[in-house]
Amino acid sequence: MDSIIARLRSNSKDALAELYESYRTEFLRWIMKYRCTSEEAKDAYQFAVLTFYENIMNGKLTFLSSSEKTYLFAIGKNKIMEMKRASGKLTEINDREENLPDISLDEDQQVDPNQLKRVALCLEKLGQPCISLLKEFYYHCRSMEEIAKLLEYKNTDSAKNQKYKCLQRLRKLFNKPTPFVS
Amino acid sequence: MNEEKDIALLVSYLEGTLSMDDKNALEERLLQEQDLQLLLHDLRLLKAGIKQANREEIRSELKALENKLAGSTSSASLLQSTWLKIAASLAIVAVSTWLLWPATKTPEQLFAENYEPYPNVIMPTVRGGQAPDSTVMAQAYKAYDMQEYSKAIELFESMEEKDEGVLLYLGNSYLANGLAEKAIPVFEKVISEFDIFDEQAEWYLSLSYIKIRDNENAKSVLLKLNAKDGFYKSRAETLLNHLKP
Repeated sequence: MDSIIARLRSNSKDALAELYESYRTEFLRWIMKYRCTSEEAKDAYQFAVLTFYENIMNGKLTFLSSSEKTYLFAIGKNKIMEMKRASGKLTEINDREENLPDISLDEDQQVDPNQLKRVALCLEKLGQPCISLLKEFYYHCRSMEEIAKLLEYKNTDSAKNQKYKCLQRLRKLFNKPTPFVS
Repeated sequence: MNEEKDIALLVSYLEGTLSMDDKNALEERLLQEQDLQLLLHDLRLLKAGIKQANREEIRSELKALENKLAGSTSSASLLQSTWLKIAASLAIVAVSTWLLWPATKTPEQLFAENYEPYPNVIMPTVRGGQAPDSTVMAQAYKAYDMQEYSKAIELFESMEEKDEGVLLYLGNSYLANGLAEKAIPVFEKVISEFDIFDEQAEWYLSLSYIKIRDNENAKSVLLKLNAKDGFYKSRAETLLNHLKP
């Protein structure tokens, strides 16, 4: 069987679902010792899978120095600790998983969430092929060579040109002064 | 076009892939050109928005998966509310029957209910502030925005180089003026010769066929749209339900 990294990077939706299911029951049982609700446990596990996924897709994680289970459990546990600290239920900061590999979600905190939502709406309006092209470039951080092959463009240059056109149109949609009609 | 070139430069700049010389030259320009600064600002925002949109998509996929898995393990406790379930499922059947039972509609009604000229995303008319743009292209889009479709048709037609944007709006102007026969070949061209506006063109092509009462061709275009997971998928499905004999 291909490694989980290779399978996720080949855009397999099944791989993500399989990963999620593989450790779900075990995690949800294990995390209970940190006295969280089952909703918190689920949120933490989803966050862990998402973080793991993004770091594989954007190339920050190119090989696993321990099993994927170790990553998921460590990220999930830290998330629970973070939730507890945020709600004031935990005062000491020292209960952080120390041997956690250095991966986290890179979040753009300076940007207004409403603006981001608007971009998402405009993106939907823009339609294909722009949605896939921009997703592979910005979210999955693939090279234009890879994207051209994946999305079956004639060559890298035509994929690049298309990408610039998509960005140009997305910007125009975004800056359109009239109220957005869905 | 200049803006496209600048976008290319700024995208590489944001990715950190420009050569030292190009980077210095660009930063020099950024100090002086306000439009370029705005473009950079927007590109950063779009990049963040694109990432966020995709992250939310994965997040909701995981949530849906979780609900599915949780549902299959805790069905026992739901038995208590059997009556509620029956009531709920009856409600769902009633609502979906109502939704799926298309009332008979004439092609004129279908067209009127579904046709809305595609919004001008190419050259939006900006209110106030800027000097009026006198190029034919700007005039054409302005006429389109003002719903002066005859004038827009004249201007769009007069343009020598017609890219997919011009064609999409020319087609829409024809259609808005009731000239569906003229709109059809224009939309077909957008689909066969360009990439970006395929789904939009297919949607308006299907409406053009409905307008001239050619339901067979309308259906075949709508089936294509419905097979894609795009913006027009659900609209195409609704129309298809209405077009069933």
